[in-house]
Amino acid sequence: MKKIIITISALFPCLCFAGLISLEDSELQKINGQAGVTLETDGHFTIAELAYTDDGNTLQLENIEQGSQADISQNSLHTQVVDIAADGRLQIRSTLAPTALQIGAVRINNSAASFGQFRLNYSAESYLTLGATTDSDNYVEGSYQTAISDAELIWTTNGNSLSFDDIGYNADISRLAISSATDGSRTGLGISLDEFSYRFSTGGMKLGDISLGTLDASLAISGNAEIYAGGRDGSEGLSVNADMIILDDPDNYVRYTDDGNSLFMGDFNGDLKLTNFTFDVMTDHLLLGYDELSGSFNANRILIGDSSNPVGSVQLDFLFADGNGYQNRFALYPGIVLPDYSALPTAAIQNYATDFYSGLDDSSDGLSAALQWNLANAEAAYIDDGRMVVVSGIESYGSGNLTLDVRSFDHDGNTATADKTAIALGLSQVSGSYSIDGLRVGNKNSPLQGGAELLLSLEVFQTMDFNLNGYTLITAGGVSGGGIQLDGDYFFTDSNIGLSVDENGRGVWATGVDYDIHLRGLQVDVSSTGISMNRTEQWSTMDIDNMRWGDRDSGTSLGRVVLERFEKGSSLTINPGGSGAVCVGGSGGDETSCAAAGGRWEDRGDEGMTVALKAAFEPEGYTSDGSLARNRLTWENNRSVDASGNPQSGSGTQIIFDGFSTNDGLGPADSNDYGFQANLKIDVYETKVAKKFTGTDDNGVYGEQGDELIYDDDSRTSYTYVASPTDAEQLLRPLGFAVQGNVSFKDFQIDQVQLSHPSGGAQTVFSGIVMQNMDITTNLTATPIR
Amino acid sequence: MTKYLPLTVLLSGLFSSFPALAELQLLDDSALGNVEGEGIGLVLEDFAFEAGEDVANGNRLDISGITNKDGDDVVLSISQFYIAGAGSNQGADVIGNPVNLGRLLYPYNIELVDGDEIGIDGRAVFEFASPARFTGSSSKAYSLLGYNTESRTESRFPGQATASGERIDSISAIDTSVLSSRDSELADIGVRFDLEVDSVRAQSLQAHASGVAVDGSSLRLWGADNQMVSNINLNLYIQDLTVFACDADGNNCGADVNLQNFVLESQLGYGEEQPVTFEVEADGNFTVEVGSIEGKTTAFYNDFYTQGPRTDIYIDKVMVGDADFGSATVANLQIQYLRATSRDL
Amino acid sequence: MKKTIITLLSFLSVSAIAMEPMSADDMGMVTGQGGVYLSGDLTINENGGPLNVDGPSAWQASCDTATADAVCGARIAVNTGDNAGSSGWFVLDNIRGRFSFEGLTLKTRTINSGFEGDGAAFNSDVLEVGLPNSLEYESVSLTVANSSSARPTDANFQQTNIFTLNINGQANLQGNLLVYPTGTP
Repeated sequence: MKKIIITISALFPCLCFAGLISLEDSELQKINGQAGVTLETDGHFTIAELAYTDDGNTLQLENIEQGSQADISQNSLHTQVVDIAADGRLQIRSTLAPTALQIGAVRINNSAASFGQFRLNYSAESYLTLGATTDSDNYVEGSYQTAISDAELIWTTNGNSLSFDDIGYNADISRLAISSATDGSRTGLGISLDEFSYRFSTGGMKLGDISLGTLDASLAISGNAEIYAGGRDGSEGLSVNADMIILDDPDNYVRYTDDGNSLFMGDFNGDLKLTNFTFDVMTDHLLLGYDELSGSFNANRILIGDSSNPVGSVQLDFLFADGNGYQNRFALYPGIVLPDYSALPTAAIQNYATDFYSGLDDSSDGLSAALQWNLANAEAAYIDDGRMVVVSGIESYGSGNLTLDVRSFDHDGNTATADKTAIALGLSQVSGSYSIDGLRVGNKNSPLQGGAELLLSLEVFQTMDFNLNGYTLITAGGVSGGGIQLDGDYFFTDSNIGLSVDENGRGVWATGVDYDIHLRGLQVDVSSTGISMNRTEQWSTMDIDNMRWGDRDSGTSLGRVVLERFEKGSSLTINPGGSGAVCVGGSGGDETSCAAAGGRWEDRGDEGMTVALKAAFEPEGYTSDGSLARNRLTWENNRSVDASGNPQSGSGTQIIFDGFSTNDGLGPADSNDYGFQANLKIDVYETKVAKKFTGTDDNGVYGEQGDELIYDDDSRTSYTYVASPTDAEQLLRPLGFAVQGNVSFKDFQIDQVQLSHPSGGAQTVFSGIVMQNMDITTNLTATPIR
Repeated sequence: MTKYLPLTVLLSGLFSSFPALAELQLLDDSALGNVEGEGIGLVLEDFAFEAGEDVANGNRLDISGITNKDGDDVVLSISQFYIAGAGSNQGADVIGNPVNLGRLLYPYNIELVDGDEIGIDGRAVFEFASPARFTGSSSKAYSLLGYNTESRTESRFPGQATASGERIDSISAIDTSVLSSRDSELADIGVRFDLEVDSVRAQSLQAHASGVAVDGSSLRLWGADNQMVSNINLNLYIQDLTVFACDADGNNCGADVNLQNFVLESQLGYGEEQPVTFEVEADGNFTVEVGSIEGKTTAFYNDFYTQGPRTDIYIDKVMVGDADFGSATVANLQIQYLRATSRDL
Repeated sequence: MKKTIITLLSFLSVSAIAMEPMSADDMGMVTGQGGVYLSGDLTINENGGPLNVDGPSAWQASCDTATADAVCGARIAVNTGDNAGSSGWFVLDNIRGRFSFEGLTLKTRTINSGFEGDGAAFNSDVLEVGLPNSLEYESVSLTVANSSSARPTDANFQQTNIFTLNINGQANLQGNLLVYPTGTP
């Protein structure tokens, strides 16, 4: 029994270390029946407090109760049949009748606040065999199967619950071994699991009683763990080294299902290596951390909604390790640690924060965390019909605070309707940074290229350092029943965004950016065709203090740019499948008619992605917060500077594109259903890159103007210029993004264009610009170049 | 249907091909480290442009929807247009013969100007300017034209107070050191128009200019009384301009009209004292107006006379075929009021 | 190990953890850049626009590549007056056509030499737009007009078409457009 628990603890180290010790220290069960054949335990127990003490600090699990699921004050039955097999192996078969286990509170050193209440309802069957070792280093070897059914895990804070219903859990470990382990001077326990197949499903993640959707997964893994005494702080605590391999099994999958439609990731494999993961109990928090976490992950089948149309493959490699002055550490505090409001950057943020935490105090339940991370490197590859693009050299670091609780929330701003239960996620004083070195195309070892600017169309910036405060409420119920709704307010302050940056950090920068985003009723749904995000209402202001050319801090500036937005009923959908076969530069439905029309026929395959965006820009009006919002673009320069030489917003001359909005054709008073629409069908494809001038290029390769760049071989490292590439050579054209796009709107109005002077005020130059009936189709290929 | 086509073409040509104008804030060499004036600089590096000459295959820009007085459809085509470096041989050698338009230190520039600094108080002024001009050695700052002057006293508006000042008497020299564009940065620009009347391609007119600079030109726009107001400054220098007409196939061309050292220095509008407005009336006709200077003060007229907007045109040498017609000068042209309105559209 | 703990404690001591701002050289880790090469085409209203499909009746039409129906194109109206009763609108109407290009490049570039000596004095960064070698126009057309009101659906709408531009053919280009800030912000 004890060893089983150790086994599980290796899988869920943080949950179980406390459990491990507690079980040792406690008389858990009253045993009936006869040892050696059958053990029947019919039990109910309560424990006022289980404590784990580490260097004088105590983690306390309070008011623990186990009993029958129907009535926790009644007994539940646990049957164990113990047998010896013909080969001498010990066999233990366990059956647990529907049981409930509840933990009333989890505190540290008698903290006023708790991590909340936990309750697990479950019934289980398990089968353990233990026998002689085949390796002299092992203490014991065996196999283990377990099946948990009809389980429910409930987390409750301050009277509101998040639950995982109908959990089914099956694990089958064909070989497990327990041995001694050494790590330099330390000696600990080694656990290895071979061909561990693992499957779980949950009937519903529920908030209150409303489902967010269901989750299920199946994995085949092998793993090893070494557990040592002594954490990162003081002499006590725990540390763990572990590695895990997700076996290359086509049956591996993870699936999220919303109303019968799924996000699915299958046929995947990978590995994970964790070095010196530590667990310590500190005076007011748990401290978790690790020296290094590295891994890789390859998913060969990804479906979004449409089960017949895969999107392509994804490969991810990553390394978290100390660096940039940051480590990977997680301090977990019981309860809600309220932010220091006065330290928040602006009065507006202080107001939103105060509002978000109103009703909570130092004794409120929940989880708070102070996080610090350093992602030393990551490579993310996307493969579309066999063609690979790698976003290379992703680095990130930073730190910040997080709170998590479950609460009730007026999700629709209507007091007449019932409140919903929400997960409340607060982020404060998050300061971080990330950067992307560039792209590699063709394979992971091909030379690094520019072109990360191409990700701008997906609102991914090449590099950014940011300060973020953000408050999110997650409720159940998208547009079509299940799904997820987000309501949130986010504030980026004094952030710097690199829009196009070279290896020396020079390029085009948006610096001193304050960006506040307000989302109301963002509903995420999976449908039979894809995934959609419908925004009931959104308003935002992006205030760029300087658009700089060159260095981030000292580059010359174009001045200040402010973009205000106000939208209702905007949406974003992502569907599988790119453009398929297209005629570029002409009109034609097949290869022959396309060529006849002067076009170039390209069959870009079945995979790829289609992104459909609709922005319904609203005329100036009031938001659901009561603030006045509009769509407006302002460019300001000639600003005067303060004593420290910083330009002062509003002190210069401005050009203002004021009050732009969309409508359905009759003017701003008309409906606004169509909005501004953009549909982008995105593939990775061979692209024609022609030499722009006769002569040698930056890499010393000669070519005539108009010759095509063709790689010498699949490694895509060296190339020549070819006048008329053969079919085989055409396959060695550079890979790039092929985008078939359509942009359309019925009616787009700019109320006025003004020029504003700091003392003379604003004067209208154009008292109206109206654009109507626009439909622009593009076939573009965008290729990163060196 | 009669239309005021030439005016329209002129205006659209003005806006599309010649960026724009006004006296420039000057950048002299000492100020380079810390460039005054803020905005977006634009430079065309190693630039050449040619829109083909393949008229028979429809490779052209047609302006249609126009009829002559007999009701025949008239189509004006631009069948060739090029910009290249010197020695383009009237558009025969364009690609591979590039030119830099604008210098890094003296680019084409888009910016918002504080009106307080240019005599348009309390306004933010949008300016699109070509490369700057230097002060130069001429009698008038930033002017290419060196001239002999005479003192005169004239009325600037009928029945209003007179003003006195120096006027151009004759042109004595051309000072190209005023241009920020260096000799290698003067462009060759050419265009061929074809005229089609009632579906019959009638004739072509070709113009080839070499040594072209538009330095010191600008367009300024701002709002006053919540409508758009502008000032325009067009400065054009062409070392050699050849114009000739041919038949529809481009053959049997007539004699060349050749202009050498053509200088146009033209200013339209004087801040808000003499605004230039473009507006469509409620009846669908459009109006271009250069504001009237009637009823101003004597001080204004004196200022307007000496500092106000003025147009001077000088051609060093005019030749038709082999005949030399000498030089031509139009100087001291000042507009008191101009209103052009389309009719019967 | 001890150092780690000290670092960690200093990090945790503020409890709600105030972050020090990123230092200036934190971002120096971006490497490898070359820019982007773009080719393709852009077609305006090949089969009409969205108002032709289900817009107000004044707009509805069956539009295909061959139709010359003036409502099949896009429309832009601009008012330079005060938008009171006396002012009308400049209009570019019935905008249609296809542009194709090959080899438009975008990248950032530091210039500190060349340009007959200007480069060294300039010593700054520019956004370089490499112009495509060729630009093809196919059935590009638009009508220049004046109009009494912005939308054809407005009351008492009147419009006068002045002329129509049709462009077909190919332009050859070479060179780079350099874009950069010119001064104090």
